[in-house]
Amino acid sequence: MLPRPLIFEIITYLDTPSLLSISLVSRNLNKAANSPCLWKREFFRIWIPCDNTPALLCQDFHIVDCFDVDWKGLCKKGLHLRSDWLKLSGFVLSSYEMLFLYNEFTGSLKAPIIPFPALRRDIQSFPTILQDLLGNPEDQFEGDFDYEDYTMAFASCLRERQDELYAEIESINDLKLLTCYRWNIENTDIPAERLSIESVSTDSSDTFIDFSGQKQTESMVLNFFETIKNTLQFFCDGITGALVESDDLVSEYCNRWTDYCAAMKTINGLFLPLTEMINEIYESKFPDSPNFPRMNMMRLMPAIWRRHVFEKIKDRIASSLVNNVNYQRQKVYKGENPDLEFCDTVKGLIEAVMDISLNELSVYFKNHSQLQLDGPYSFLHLELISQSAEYYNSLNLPINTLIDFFENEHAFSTAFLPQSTATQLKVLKYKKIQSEILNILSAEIINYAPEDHPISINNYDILSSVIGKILLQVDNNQEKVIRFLLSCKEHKEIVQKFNDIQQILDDSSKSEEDEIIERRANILGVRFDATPEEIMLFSFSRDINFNQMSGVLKAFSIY
Amino acid sequence: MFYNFNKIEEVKIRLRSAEGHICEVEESAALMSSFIRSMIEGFNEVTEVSLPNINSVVIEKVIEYMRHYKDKDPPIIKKPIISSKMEENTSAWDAGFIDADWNMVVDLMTAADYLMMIPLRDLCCAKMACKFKGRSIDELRAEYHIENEFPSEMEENLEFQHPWRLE
Repeated sequence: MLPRPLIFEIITYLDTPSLLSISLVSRNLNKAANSPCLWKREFFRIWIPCDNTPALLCQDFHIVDCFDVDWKGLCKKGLHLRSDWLKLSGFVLSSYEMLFLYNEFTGSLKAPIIPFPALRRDIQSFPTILQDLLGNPEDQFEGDFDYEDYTMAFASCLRERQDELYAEIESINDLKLLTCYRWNIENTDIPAERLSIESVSTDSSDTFIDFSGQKQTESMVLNFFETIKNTLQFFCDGITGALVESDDLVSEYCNRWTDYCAAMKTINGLFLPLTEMINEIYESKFPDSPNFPRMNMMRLMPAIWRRHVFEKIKDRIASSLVNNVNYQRQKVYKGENPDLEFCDTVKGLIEAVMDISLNELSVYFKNHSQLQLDGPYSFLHLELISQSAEYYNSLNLPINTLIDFFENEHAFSTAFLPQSTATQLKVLKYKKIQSEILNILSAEIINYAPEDHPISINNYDILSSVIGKILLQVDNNQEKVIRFLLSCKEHKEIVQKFNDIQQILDDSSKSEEDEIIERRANILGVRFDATPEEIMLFSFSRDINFNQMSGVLKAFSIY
Repeated sequence: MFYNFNKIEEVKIRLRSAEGHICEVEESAALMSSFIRSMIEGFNEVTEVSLPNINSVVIEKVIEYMRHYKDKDPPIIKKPIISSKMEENTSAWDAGFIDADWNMVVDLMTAADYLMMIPLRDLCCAKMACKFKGRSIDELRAEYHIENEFPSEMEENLEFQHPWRLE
């Protein structure tokens, strides 16, 4: 008998079917053939597009860490699915045709034809594949590469890559023609009884087309559709496993999603006859049902991805995103330039997550600062906001440094975050600065002794304008604040100012920024466009530390 | 080790087999084996390596391989193998070299493992894998005289779990 390491070596040279039979020969071989790394390699080889993962094809495969993903189970399930596909044959499509479809389907999942590789996510303004399709829902029924009108960048790229593109167009069209030919059942001389897909479906009287896949139906069309869905779910499970075990989750996720998007396009074309058929059946069966969801692979595939990939690893994605962003912030704080490569990666991730959050409407308002997305992106957004708030609050810096840092950080975060998130972060930063200013001012109040420096309301209206906030915040010094308030002759005016401030704080996220600055400046008692001399005079006249005052003004003027 | 570059004749390494036979091989070829390399580099002036668990037929075979790949790298065999025919997985010379009976391949493989010659070991492993590939369970059991160790219910269960085997 051979030593174990050698048996393992031999077995690494086998593929899935041989591995499965050999694992049934004897216990020893069974043990050797159960190595998860081996199955992971097999799964990747069969299912996952590998041009992005050259490391996975290397010879020393078993060095790669394997966690608790059941790769063997996945490989087996893949084989089950294949036999499920073949079982469907014979009704309308012959087994040969079924195999052809299966191979096209899995082939496009495995090696998607990515249009314009140079443009995938490199040019910031270029919409991603899915957004193209969402923005142009009619497109999918026309020529696949009819994008010429998009951007200048695209047009020039098209010229450069003409030859490649034409090669692609030809193969795609050939493929589509071939599939359409195969699918176009009415035109071929298939016996009439084979054409009765619709009647089969309507005959089974209590059949309800259940898109969530709970109910089993007898109809071949729906069975077929279930099988497609199962295959996609299985594929997404595998992707999740691959992502969980990858070193660089963020960029891996982007790559996988880009591949999936590209595959989506081909697959949509491939199963268009089927989805249209389902829509027709549904329409004829439930003519009164209003606004039924039209079946469409372009909708289905992102939904499956969302449930089977994103939802499972969203916590990992969010934490890895936040960690990366905080690391880069640290760099910005030290005055170094943030990693450009990182910005691109994060931008890619955000685009990828936004892809599954957008719908036909919101795709047009993608860059709007007030865009409220529900779904996957909102999760990432909220996570980022709450983590950033913690980060900002943990900063303990002098106000001038803080303002400089925030300015740089803002420039850095707008480089990769969508407008709406960046605006929210801006509000957070603003609040942090505000609370810092309040701290400084409240310290002034605490140190204030009325018997030493009698004050008038005019000199201290800057303080009075924030008194309300201080009252709320500095509970333990309430007495001092009240003493301060009493020393101010016109008590009513202070209350009025407090109300003003409160109102501005309330709707600061909604109103126009310039307006806020102006109103704030009015309350401070300076003109919005005051010169430094004026500011200095102003601050001297109010007996406030000039540095703090300029900090205050700077804080307002950056927003 | 002092090496005389003017010397016309290359240093020969003497390999002593299990039977006590001596096989000579040029030093540059012998260095393919990490085991022999460490022996030579570890002890100065070593020209004889004793290999008590390898018989002389196998040593001759190993030396043939060493001489062939003295100045070039052996081809890398892709995992998993694509065919059960060795010619389709690797170069013609390799396929011819490894075209031997089961016992010879096993001996060669253990020898390569002992001598730490990774390319030769991989070649043997691939050859063994070829013998396994595409064979049914019963064929394999019969050929290698393996008793069925699994209880019969489990067997049925496995049949049930592996519907593709019926294709």
